[in-house]
Amino acid sequence: MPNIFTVTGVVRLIKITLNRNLPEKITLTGEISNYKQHSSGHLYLTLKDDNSQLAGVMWKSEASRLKFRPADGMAVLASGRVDVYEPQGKVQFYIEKLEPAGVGALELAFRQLAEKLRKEGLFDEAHKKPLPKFPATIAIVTSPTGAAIEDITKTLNRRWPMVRKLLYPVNVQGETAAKEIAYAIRDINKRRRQLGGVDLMIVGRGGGSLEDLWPFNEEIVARAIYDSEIPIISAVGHEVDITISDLAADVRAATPTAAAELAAPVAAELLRALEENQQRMVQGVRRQCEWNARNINNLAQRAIFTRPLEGLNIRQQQLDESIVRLKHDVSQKLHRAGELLERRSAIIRRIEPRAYLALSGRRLSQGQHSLYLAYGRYLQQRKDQMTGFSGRMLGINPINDVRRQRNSLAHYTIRWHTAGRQYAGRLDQQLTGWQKRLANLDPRGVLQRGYSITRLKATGRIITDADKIQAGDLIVSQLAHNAFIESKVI
Amino acid sequence: MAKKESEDSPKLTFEQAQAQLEKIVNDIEQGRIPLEQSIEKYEQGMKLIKHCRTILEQAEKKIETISKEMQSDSERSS
Repeated sequence: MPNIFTVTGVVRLIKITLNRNLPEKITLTGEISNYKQHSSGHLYLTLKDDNSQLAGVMWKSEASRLKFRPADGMAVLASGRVDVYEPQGKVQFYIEKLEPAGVGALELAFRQLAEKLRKEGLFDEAHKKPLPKFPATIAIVTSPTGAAIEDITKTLNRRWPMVRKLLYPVNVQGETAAKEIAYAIRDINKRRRQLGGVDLMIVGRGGGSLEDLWPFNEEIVARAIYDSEIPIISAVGHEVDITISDLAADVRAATPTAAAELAAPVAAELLRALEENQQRMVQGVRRQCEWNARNINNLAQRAIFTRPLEGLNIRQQQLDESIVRLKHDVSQKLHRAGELLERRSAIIRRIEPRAYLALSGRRLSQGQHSLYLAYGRYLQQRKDQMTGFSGRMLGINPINDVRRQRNSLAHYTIRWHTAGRQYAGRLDQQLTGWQKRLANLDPRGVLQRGYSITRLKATGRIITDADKIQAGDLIVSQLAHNAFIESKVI
Repeated sequence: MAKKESEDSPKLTFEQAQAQLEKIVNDIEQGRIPLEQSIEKYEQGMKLIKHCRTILEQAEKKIETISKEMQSDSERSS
């Protein structure tokens, strides 16, 4: 008689056998399917490969440490132990650690979070704030004991020594780091005024492993950075490390030293620029002074300033010349007046009775002489006239005259004949016209066309009215060709 | 220092002072203003340069540390 087992007994036997024969810890590779996260926080999934599958479970305590979100189809490395779930007699894999195969868990977590936040717009360029050119106060969120704070302060002291540096000490690695960093960022924003104004924040730490830098990949930090009203430079690790903080920050610096360089200008350079500005001002003013001086010099060169008496001298000279001319004019006028006076007195002296008589006598004989000459001229003119007439008389020949008359007579005769002929022609034409018109008026012409003239034989009157004749009257009709037809009215 | 003061106040931020200085230097260089005004501006510019230099030559090498206690202090006081 074989042993009879209960179900529970068999399952228990399987469990014992399994536990005895399988290694305490197994790491297996497979693909996730049927992934489900229960509200309790436990994860349920199936691990499978091409030929087989195995149910898996991950308790909340382990699941909460997962940096990435498992998903169906994901290739994973799962570590844990195989056991039997007795209530269902089911072999299950109890997962203690789950990692993506191929990429590391953190790497995947980074990618997933980055993707999520990018979609939300946390990395948008449009959201990024410009850095202040000349920050007066910079708050630094980092570890008080790390290399970062040292690098930052050293660099700031070298470049921009007057800046106020506020250190907000936080843990930059370990469980609490992310929360502390996020809190610090929000705290500084909130207390900005009380802190005397904060122009800029540097958030970061020095280099370390991916796990060390992890707090800067946490969502809570990224959101605090995104929400900050104060511009933030993120500076985490070395050049190669890029964190979520870097992506969310307004400016990413490769290292803490680089962050300080980005944060502040070089005072020495600004001092040089000031020097230069001063020089430019001095030059500007000097140039203007020189220009003004040149202008004044140019004005001073003008004649009015260099030879102030010249104008006066010229006028003096003109005056002198006028005086000379005036003197000359006056003396000339005096001289002329003297001469005139002299002449007049000479005339007056000459008008003495004797002198006057002599003058009259002279004038008389002059008149006599003129008369004589005029008469002579008159005689000569007459003589010339007569000579002209006789010359013209000699030129007139009567024979010539007769010849001329004859010529013109012949001419007139010709014209007369011509005119006569023309007149006769015109009369002839007129006569012909009248003849034609008369012919048209001849009653016989009408007879030619077939009409006849009827007369009363007794009276010879032309009958134009039928009432005027009576039966028995003799009438004579005249036809075209001299035919007369006698008829009797019936 | 970050608090903005009126234009003529000597408590200008470095940025404000620099901007004013830039304008003055340009005005003087272009020579479009009368000499008297130039000289006035020059003096103003020199004051700004002095102000900027004072800011630049301040060396505040120490670091202040903010603590959460400070926050709770201020919260209590406010």
